[in-house]
Amino acid sequence: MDHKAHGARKILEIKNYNEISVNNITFKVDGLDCDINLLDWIRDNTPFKGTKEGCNEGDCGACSVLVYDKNDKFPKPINSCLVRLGQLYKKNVITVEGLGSSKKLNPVQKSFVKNHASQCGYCTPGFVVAGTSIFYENEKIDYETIHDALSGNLCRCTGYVPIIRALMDVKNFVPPKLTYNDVITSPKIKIGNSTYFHPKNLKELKNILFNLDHFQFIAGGTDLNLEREIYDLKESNLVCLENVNELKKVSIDKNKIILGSCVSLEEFLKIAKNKIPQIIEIIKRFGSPLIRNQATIGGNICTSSPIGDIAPILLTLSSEIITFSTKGQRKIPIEKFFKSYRKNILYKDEIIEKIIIHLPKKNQKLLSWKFSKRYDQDISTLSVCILYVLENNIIKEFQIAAGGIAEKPVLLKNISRQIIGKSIDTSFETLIANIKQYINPISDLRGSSEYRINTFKGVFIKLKNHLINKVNLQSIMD
Amino acid sequence: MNYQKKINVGKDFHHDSASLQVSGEAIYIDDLIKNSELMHASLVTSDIACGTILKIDISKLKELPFKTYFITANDIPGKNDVGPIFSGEPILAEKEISYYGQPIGVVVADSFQKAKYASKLVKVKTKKNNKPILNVNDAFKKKSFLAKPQVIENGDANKSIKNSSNKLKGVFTIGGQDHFYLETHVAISSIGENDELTVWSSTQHPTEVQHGVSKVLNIPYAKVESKTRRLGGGFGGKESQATIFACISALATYKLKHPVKLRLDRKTDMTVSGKRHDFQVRYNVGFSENGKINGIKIILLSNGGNVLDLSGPVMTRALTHLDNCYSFKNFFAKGYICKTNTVSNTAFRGFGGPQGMLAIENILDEISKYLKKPLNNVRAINYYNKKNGLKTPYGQLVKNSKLQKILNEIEKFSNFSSRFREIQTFNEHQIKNGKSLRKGIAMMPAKFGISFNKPSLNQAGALVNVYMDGSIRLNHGGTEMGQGLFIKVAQVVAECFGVTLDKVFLSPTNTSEIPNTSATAASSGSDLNGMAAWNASKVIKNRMEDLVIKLFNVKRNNILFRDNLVFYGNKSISFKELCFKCWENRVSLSSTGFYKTPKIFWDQVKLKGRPYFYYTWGAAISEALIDIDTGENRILKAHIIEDCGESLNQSIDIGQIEGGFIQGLGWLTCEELYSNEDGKNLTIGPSTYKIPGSRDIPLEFKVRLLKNSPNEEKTIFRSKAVGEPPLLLAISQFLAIKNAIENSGKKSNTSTLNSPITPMELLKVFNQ
Repeated sequence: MDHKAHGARKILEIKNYNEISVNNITFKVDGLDCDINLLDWIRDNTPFKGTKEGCNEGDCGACSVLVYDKNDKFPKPINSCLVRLGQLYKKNVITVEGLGSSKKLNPVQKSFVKNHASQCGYCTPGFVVAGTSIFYENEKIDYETIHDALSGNLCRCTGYVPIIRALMDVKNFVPPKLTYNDVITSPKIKIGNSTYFHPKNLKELKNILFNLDHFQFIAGGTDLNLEREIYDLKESNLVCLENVNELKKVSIDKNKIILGSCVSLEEFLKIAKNKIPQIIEIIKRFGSPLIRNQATIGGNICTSSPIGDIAPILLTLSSEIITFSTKGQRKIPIEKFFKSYRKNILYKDEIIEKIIIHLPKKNQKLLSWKFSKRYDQDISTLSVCILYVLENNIIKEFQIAAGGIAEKPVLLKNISRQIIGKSIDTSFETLIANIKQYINPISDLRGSSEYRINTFKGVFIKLKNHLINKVNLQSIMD
Repeated sequence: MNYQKKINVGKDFHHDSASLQVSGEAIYIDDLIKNSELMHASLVTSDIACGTILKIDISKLKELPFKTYFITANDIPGKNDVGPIFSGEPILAEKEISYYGQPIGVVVADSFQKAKYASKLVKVKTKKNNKPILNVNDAFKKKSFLAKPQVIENGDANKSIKNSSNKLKGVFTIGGQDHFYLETHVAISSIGENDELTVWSSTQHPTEVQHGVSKVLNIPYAKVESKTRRLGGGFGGKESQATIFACISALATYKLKHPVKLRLDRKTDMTVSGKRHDFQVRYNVGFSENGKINGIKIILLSNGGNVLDLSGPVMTRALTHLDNCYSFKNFFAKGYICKTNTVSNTAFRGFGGPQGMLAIENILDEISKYLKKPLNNVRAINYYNKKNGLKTPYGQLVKNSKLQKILNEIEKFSNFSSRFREIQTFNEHQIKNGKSLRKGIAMMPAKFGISFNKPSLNQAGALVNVYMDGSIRLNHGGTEMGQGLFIKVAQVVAECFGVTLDKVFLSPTNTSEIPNTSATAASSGSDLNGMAAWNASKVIKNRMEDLVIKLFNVKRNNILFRDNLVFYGNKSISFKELCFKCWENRVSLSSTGFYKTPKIFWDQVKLKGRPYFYYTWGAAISEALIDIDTGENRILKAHIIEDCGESLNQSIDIGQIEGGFIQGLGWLTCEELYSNEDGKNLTIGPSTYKIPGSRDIPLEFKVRLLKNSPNEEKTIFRSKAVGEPPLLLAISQFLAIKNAIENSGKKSNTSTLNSPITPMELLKVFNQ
């Protein structure tokens, strides 16, 4: 046995002891017979029942809580239903009860009461949590901040009017400074029949991998946890990537950004605001802040969904994936990464270490669209991303990728081939008339094949008007 | 009743539990008892839509390292039936399976997670019988109905259509809608001595839960106590449906002699609980050049699902709202309730009314397109008035119409005429420049009948206890589901005693305190319970006045209860002191109160009579924006004027209007139920079923209550009901989208446009 593996043994033998702090009270995690999520654990094992289950799939926000680490300046709102307790390494949690009590309401709660923002009240704790979170990071609150902050919270009673009014109404609220409760957490935690490993760096990760036969990687878990059983007789090992230092690194230069795979979508959004503002809307619509805080870019790529949210953008920008495994690194163009429906080229013990995104050059234009039944927090029926260069009415470069039209997100090279080098007047006309030749989407609950084709056609009609007639690209949301 | 100088009624008190709700301290059923003290149930459901159960294999349960119990219909000591109107509605399937996801049995374990896990191990062997009937078209073809068709007829529609110079006919469908209350169905039962059951459930109808449990367990009503403090949303979805799940939890409790909780997770809830009925509308209409309707014939097909539930009265309300604000001399409407292999549809805010009104409004809109006349002109010529007639097709007279007053006001409120021109300019600019956005605008007038269609349901009881320290405990048969009923009724009681609202305390709704109640439904909550509570309070107040007269030798009309004081002559005594004196003088400070709605009658066979005590009136104007290349659409502006009579609490009422409107918007634009060909509903969570989010509301959203508009009937403080009517005002957006399509400058066909208008549905009109 080599030295590294020996080190790993030591890690594996550390006593299974875990604490979590909720509203600054430390709770010992003990005697759990299932791989419980944070929501159920709070409701069953702490005195706090304000956090509600509305859907158990991260889409209603009734279970919103705030979490933070020792070094965090702001707490992050997340869906407590989507996070398993074992993932919460050294985290502190604030529930609605931690924000204020009925006898001593915080300014957001007071404003909710004053503005009649609760009716049945079941979604209310989630709105109060999500609503309070915006005051940590923002000094000025506008409608966009509010809509985005609430995009993962559903209310069926009020029609949102009084909730939005209540948040606009809060004046000069400086949330109390976070106090971090130091909690003891072992890097290996067994909860129910699931064992969670928390490597801090790639070296530790490698050691763990050397010693485990059966395991599954987990990053944010916002997708994976939807499919995992809560109670399971089978033993399972979860290797958590969230706290691996190297995977959270970001480096940015003039031409590219390099993102560690565990960079959250929320951090990616902040980077995009400076570097690729064209895709802000797509990242926002990827999911609510509750999801974006938890979900990682690497996780989103690894799920390899046919929609792929971020994938069409990465495909269009010719991004590259650097993988990591016990055997070393690989560099793979993202185009080669996706194999088929929810399948990719990663080996079982291989993860994405980082993603290299090449920024659009000055002469390149980047456009993206997402179509869904609802604007916020909805899975795309169709997503399209286009990068092009147009000179003197001739298309010099044209890269297009789409999600929702095949079993995986795809680069539509046949379209590029068709129009590169040609004048836009004629080439777009032909393309639009023959659009059905290029895509063959399925029909499902999100939309029929015909609808997807017609919408795809709609994108090209828009683009044609934009490029030829110089019509500004418009959206109903502008 | 004293209409002057009100100190509580008409004031904007916030929701009774607001502070508890915002701090997470409000207790819902799921928060009531520690989970470790309960057993937990999880449903085993069918994986076919139509067939027979051959065998249930529970061998895998025995291999589990924990104890489980499996309960089926065979364990029911009484009747396996909770039909609210007719019998034949089992809580657990016995042999026949009639929809995909139907509960067959229930696994009980000591945690929710274990019960859920174990329930997946139960293998039900089934035989598929026939090809399932999954929509109203197939049901109609196969004559698969749940009840006799209902007909409302007036004059001779056929003849007058035939003789008309203009005729139109068409077919369109109106999609269903999941309630998506944030709190899913949940019930906890416990058993006491002598097999007495206590059931806490999230129900709009505690009495029906009581009756259901009694029937299933074969014990008298009096041995079942059914309670609820608050619901995390109801919207009709917990009117009859809650009984099913309360009964299953009670059955498990009865069997195991241990408290059992049944909480449906979202996926199960959306699979096994009924929804708003989807409808198909077939119409045939004859009209003159100016749009006056000579005769109209409408066939409604509603999807009742596998059993009848409340589909009968839902159809009645749809049929009695087909007239909306229009006088039809020659009218024929027939409603078929289709029996399909889908979950039984049920009550949902509006209760058929919205479907009926969307039907007629869409027909008028098609007429206006056909005649190339503005929709409002076609409406105007058909409105109920002295010239056109005031009698509805079902015989009730439309008196005291507030419509004209509302129309005048909303015109000014929304600036309708000038916006109409602005929109034209916008669209012309878009068309000229090859752009893809179009705007449309439309108005929706609405008349909505208030009362349960079945007269016997229009009754309520209340119990008021005044204590020696002057505090008051109020109990009534209504349930609080967010609509603000509790605070409104408390305001009424406080008003009666002239005390501040903090003296009135609210109790959970409880069948042991108020018996034989009706569902909190049909927008009737505050009308019925408010009046019952007033009557109870009035009895006590009279006794207190008697004592004041006796003790202080004053006349009754010189006594005034106000500001926590009781004035008599030039003197006063505190309310609290008077309460104590009542006790000293052996005056009872407790009373029940009862109310029944007067004047209503209804012939359920002929569908004639006066089913509604009064009508509420309202109108909305919506402005839509669409993208003709992608079908995306949204609402930009909405203006609403609603007639709430003399509102008991304007803020609460406005909350109902805003919320109801947005719920209607969801029904008509983004909420789409989708099942596969086996009949399995695939839209069983918020990831696949999209209700409106905060960004989907109008950018400009203005709501106003009609001023100086006391109810013409003697309702509680002359207020009017508000729960359901605002929902159907969202039809204005449906029509505004159609108007935008018409303004597109592009070839389109809206005659087959169905609801909801998703981007896909919208894009269809340009690609036919």
